[in-house]
Amino acid sequence: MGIQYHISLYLIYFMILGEHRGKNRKNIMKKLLITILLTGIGFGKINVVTSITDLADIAKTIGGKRVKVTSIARGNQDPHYVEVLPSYMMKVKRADIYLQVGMELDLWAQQIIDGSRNRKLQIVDCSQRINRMEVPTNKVDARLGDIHKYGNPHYWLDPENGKIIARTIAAALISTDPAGRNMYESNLAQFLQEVDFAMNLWRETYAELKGMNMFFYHNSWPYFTERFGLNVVAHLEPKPGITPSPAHLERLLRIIRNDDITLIAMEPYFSNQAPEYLHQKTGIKIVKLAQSVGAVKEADSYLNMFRYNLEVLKSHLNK
Amino acid sequence: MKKLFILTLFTTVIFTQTTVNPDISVIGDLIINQDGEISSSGVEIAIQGYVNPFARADVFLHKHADHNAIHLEEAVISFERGLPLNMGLRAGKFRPDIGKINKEHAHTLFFIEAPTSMKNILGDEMWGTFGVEPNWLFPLPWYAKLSVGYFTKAMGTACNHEVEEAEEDSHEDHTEKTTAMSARLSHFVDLNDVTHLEIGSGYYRDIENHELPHLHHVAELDFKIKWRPDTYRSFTWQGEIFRKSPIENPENESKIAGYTWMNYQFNKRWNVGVVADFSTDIDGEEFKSYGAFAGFSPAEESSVFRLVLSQEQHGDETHFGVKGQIIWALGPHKPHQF
Repeated sequence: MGIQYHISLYLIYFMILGEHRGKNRKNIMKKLLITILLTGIGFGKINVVTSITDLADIAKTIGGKRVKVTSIARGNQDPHYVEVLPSYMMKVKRADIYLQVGMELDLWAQQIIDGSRNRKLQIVDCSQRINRMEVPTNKVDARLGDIHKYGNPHYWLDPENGKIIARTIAAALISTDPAGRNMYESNLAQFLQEVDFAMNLWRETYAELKGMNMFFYHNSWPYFTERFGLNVVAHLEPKPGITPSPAHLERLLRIIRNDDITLIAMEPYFSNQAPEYLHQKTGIKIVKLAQSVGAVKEADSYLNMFRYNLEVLKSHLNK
Repeated sequence: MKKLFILTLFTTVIFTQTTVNPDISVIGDLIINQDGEISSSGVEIAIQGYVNPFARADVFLHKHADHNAIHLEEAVISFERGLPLNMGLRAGKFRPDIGKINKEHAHTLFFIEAPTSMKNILGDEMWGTFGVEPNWLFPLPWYAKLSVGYFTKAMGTACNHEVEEAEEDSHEDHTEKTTAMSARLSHFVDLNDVTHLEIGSGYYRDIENHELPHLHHVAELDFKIKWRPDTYRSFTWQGEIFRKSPIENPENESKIAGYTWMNYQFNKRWNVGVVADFSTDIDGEEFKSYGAFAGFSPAEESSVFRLVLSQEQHGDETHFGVKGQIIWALGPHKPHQF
């Protein structure tokens, strides 16, 4: 943004003050040439924009040097609520591929895509091959809170789904950039191998987490808890997206005392107020897990996000 | 208007027979003031969806809490992705792109009603009219958009629903009464990852206006700056200023009006802020107003409670007011502010 911004300022300068001659103009021409050359380094790459950082990290791994990847939501942001900004439209305007979470999580993405006016954009829904959890079977309405009618959309929180996402991204990159097929396929194979290796290791290292009873703040974690065998006793939100009420907190207090629950896990962006209340009343511990790459500084890649979360849970168990 | 209502119902029935239904939303409210008087700004019905891969349509109907029939607030088709040269197009009845507040529906305003100075310039229900408005995105690294429109109603006159109802009832042809044009250039720049600035400037001009003795033109400047460090906290400061004057004899009857507000959203549910507006001339007198507001959204912006305290000074008269509002929404079109 910085370099391109300066180029544009120079161009405007020329348009408005084009009649200026001499040394001054020569200097500006020189600066303009340098900045264009610097910007040129980024040209020729496949430009990928993603809704969340997890898709961005996987796309970077698969795309390697042939892609430039940008995420709209930051890792420490609630992906349900992303303000549609014109600057996001400008990012998508220059993109070749847009990677959506889908399942109605990133509904805001459509407005960004429309506003970009990018007619050549390939839009890829990364949820298309996912084995979806919690798909409602009855009528869905606001009584159920912020429920998603196509199922729970936090599917990237299972490393096995990360493999499915990686395959979807590789297919999209190959269709846009067939010349890079060999590299994409090789990077995909390496990523799948890394996930398998990590999963085998984690199954042994974190076997003791199986059956651990705990609370989560929001229902973002069914794919994660299913994969690693954690037992979600209740959520702090009485319904998805609904802030905890005093009556619900009283119910949770009873559960904590009766069932000996010792841990609340939450995303870093939620308010501490309700967990702190339960902590003060019962001594229950609170941990913040990374729901996305970049949510905390230790979760700096897709696999490191799982390493961080599992280590946080294990260290609680060992206390 | 009755025909329109029947047509809308008929269209809705047709839509429900397909698998690609548009989104249908309803927003209603209840307002209570310091004298205990209860009122409502009515019910808004929004029908929104894609017409094809390149265009979407938005229809907003408003039933005011009075004897008048349903009022067509907007019915517009917007082409976003289908046109060449980074071009977009809106056509139909809509709120033209001039200033910031003209396009904001009342239920998105933190302070319940649009500032009096803006109503005086733009119209009681802001400026909504039939017309066509192409726009272009400049090939610049930041978002820079130029909109130019040609419209069938003048700004600030004959644009509230009661006047439109009266016009319809009289069965006269009013389409040639007024024509106007407007243009707006806006820029949106990210100052850093969490702060952005939007600045705009606009111009409006009456082309024909048989309702008023003089043709007018209006110039405006607007800005909005927002700091949003995380999902649930933000600070926003917005303001705009309009100058309206007759095209001939600009010294006569020229007036300046403006407003500014600041809002701090300090968690998922609560926000507080201040608002001020002024006009050099409302009914021949100077006008000033200051206010403070608070909002509470208990559940996902589907219901919002708002409270506004204000002091208005119009000429020698001073008026202190308190208003509370509960606003609710069914469907995806909610009372949120972006």
